Amino acid sequence: MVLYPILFAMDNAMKTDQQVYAGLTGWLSNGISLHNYIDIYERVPLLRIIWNTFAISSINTFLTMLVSFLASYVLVYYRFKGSDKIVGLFVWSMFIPFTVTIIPHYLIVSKMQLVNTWMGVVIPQIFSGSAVFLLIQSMRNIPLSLIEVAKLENISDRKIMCHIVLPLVKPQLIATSIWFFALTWNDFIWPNRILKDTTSYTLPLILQSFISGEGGGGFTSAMAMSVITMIIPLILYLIFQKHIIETFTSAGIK
Amino acid sequence: MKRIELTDIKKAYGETVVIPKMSFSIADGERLVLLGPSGCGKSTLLRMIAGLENIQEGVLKISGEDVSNVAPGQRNIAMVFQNYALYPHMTVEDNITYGLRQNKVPKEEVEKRLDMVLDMLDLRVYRKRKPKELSGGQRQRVSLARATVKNSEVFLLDEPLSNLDAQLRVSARQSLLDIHEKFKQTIVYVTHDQIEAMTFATKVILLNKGEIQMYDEPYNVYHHPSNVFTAKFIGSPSMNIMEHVHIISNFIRIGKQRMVLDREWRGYLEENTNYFCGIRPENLRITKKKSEQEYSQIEATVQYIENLGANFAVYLQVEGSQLVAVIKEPDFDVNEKVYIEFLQDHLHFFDGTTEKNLGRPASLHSQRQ
Repeated sequence: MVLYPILFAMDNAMKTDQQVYAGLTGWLSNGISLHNYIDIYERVPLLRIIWNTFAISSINTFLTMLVSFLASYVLVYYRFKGSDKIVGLFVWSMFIPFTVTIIPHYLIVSKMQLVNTWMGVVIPQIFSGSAVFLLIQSMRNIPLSLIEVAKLENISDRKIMCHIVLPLVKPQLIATSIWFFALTWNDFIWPNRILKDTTSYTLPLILQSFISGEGGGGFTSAMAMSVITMIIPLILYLIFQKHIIETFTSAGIK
Repeated sequence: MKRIELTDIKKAYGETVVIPKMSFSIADGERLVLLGPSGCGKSTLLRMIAGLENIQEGVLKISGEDVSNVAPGQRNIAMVFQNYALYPHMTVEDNITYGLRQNKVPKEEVEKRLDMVLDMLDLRVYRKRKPKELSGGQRQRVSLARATVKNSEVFLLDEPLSNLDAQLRVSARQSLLDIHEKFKQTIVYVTHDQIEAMTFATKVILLNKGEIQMYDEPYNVYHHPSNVFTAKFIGSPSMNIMEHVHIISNFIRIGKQRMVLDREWRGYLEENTNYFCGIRPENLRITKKKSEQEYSQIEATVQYIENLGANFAVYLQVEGSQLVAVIKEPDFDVNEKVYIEFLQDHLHFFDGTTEKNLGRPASLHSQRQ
């Protein structure tokens, strides 16, 4: 069920429009042909766009994880006045509709003169309520006595954070990172506001122009573009699959 | 030398006062056990000594220095937790040496201490394993090892044996004693298990609702409990406590019955006041036949008999209350009428209002100093 659309796109990406309209069905009925891909490569700065997408997804994931980890650590292990309310604020922020924050975010980004840059896309996203919430829950699952033992051994807060808490929330961090990476990769609306010219585009943005017919092309070109957009995260997952699964299963046996 | 001193310590969580006002000191090298029922404040006290709970009022001194506001890591204290608190992602040897390495102890010294403790606690085989690959008893030993390598003057233990089965507890207690023998730390040990307390401690503090009931060596806590609470808490089965006991000339009156007081006791207590009278189950004697001597015994009915293995516990109905006796061989049955004698050398009288132990005449069995 999940595979069908993927295979459909891959198949049709290798045909010409005429062949599709002529009703040519059957997997690989035209043989393997990369003509659509070559066509795309000539028409748009494809490698540059792939690089943009990859960079933005990676930077966003990394910075979000970093900021969320530090914020969660403070909120869990330092009790101060209002710390409970701040946690509540993060949870509440998860429910704010995306459309509400687009304009204020845009204004901030343009004031920072980061329109049409990677950081312009990334910065408003790194303060993620859901990442903080998830990490807070994971940290609360760590028995407090572990931290107390470390305190008694005169271990500094920084070392407690890096040597003890971080390794113990690693599975959750990895899971959240994967999810964020995929989310950012496929994001359309926000990058569409910030990125202005084709050389700055991410894959979903350029894909859109293929589908809507702005950049010309046709059905099979759009299929080829779809394949490119989806294939890279898929390959990444296949490469890291073993590690991801190992991390999750080892977290279970405690 | 006083290793640990607490003066006027108070601790409350919001409205709930856990420890109203407490002062005591612990001598160097003592094995002190904090004993008491759940909620009595013993863990709170231990955590305040460790620095894991802050002290609201009062002063805590360790080795003469005021450490009331000093961070736990600066107090030169080692602690063993009930759930062992081993770092799950580190091996046994990393767990043991982590604190030393982070505090820049030279490598050779770390190696030396690690070696010593691995041998002492029989952990050499497990040194590369992670906690999840160890049994409960092994984890407990690692936890002990980690605390021992610190070479600290004070050793705190929070119910360290409660997750172990009976046999393991005995061997773990022995390991602890070996460690104390070698390093002579001042040990503060929290437990609700009185057997653990009595076998391990050189001194016991019995706590109830944040107040010290008795602070003495185990022998005195057992044989000369300072109040009714202590008398009832220590010993299994518990000491028999009879209420509303009166002295009338040379007799004790218990309910409607009377018993002659031994010569030594006469004149020691006042007449016309209420007392609590206590006697341990092993200091009762039961006979089927009524004695010729008048008023030397009390009548009772046998309710049921429990086989304890080495002895029998006999539950008796006397004047509407229950008494327990521990004897070797019962020669009677349930529902039979029997006669009880008290070994009056081992009687206790407690004040009817303050519940304090009123002591004994000098000629009788007295406190060990």
